[in-house]
Amino acid sequence: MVDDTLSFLLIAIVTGGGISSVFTISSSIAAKTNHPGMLLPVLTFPLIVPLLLIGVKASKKATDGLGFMTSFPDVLILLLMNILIVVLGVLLVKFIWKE
Amino acid sequence: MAKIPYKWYKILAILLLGYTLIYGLLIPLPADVGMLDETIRNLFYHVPMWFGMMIILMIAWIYSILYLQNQNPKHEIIARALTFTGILMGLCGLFTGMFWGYNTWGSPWTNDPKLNGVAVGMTMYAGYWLIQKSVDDGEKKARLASVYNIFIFPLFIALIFVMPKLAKFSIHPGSGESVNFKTYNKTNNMEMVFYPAIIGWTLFFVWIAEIRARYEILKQRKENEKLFA
Repeated sequence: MVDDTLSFLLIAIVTGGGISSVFTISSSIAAKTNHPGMLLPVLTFPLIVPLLLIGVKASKKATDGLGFMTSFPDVLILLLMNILIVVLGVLLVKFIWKE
Repeated sequence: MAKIPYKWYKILAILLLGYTLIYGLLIPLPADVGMLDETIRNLFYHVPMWFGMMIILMIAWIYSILYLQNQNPKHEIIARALTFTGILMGLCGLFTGMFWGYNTWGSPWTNDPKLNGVAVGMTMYAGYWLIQKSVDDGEKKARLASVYNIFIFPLFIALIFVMPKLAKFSIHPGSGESVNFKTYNKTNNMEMVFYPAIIGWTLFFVWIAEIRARYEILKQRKENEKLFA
């Protein structure tokens, strides 16, 4: 059972947001190549590993009920990475879709 | 354009590498290096590889941004040559590190955050290579590869610098709460080889990247001549 439901939810939202924004960019890159189905997991997996590792560690802390302050640095880093990925994605997506 | 107009940097690279190779073996060690013993001399090969890789990948990143800004195909060729050289440098760093780990930890690969981070990071750059191989159209290939390169470099930095700092236990020096080289180096005379080694190896690999970029540009020019002949 999850002890600290609120911070678990927060971590889940932040990690999920990061993973989905990485997938948005890398799938738009993969869609333009010759083998999109094969290339998508290869391009995306290494990019989501840092998000997954930090997210899993933080949600473990939330599950054990160690309090929000223990997982706060992880949430902060996840948020910063989210901002980085979204900003890069917004800046780069017009170069991917330009024909 | 891909040719660096300064010849002296090659001479500097050879001189610094010669100094590193010879004096790196002769230099007296600090009194107490613990279990590292003579293997601490690998500091002049393993660590400069990673420093140089970061520098070279960063220049490649800047050239990728430049390519997207002004669509000059030469910038993309330079970025590609630098990225492939960076990958080569990373592999060199990985193998020297594996030798070092085999002789000090007893195993070439341990389940350590820093080692795993680098392995995943190299997979990212393998993705860059795969994009190059799986798009036919030259302009589109250049564009997608540049976008991917711009996208992965910050994440790569996050992976190899931020992740090991977050991990509490790591046996690799310089991460978490493990030992640092400042712990051992009482006499400071190793730094007299260490910093020249970083500059020397970086310049040496820049040289390789330059040759590679010039070769690619010449190949491109040859193809264009064939096309319009």
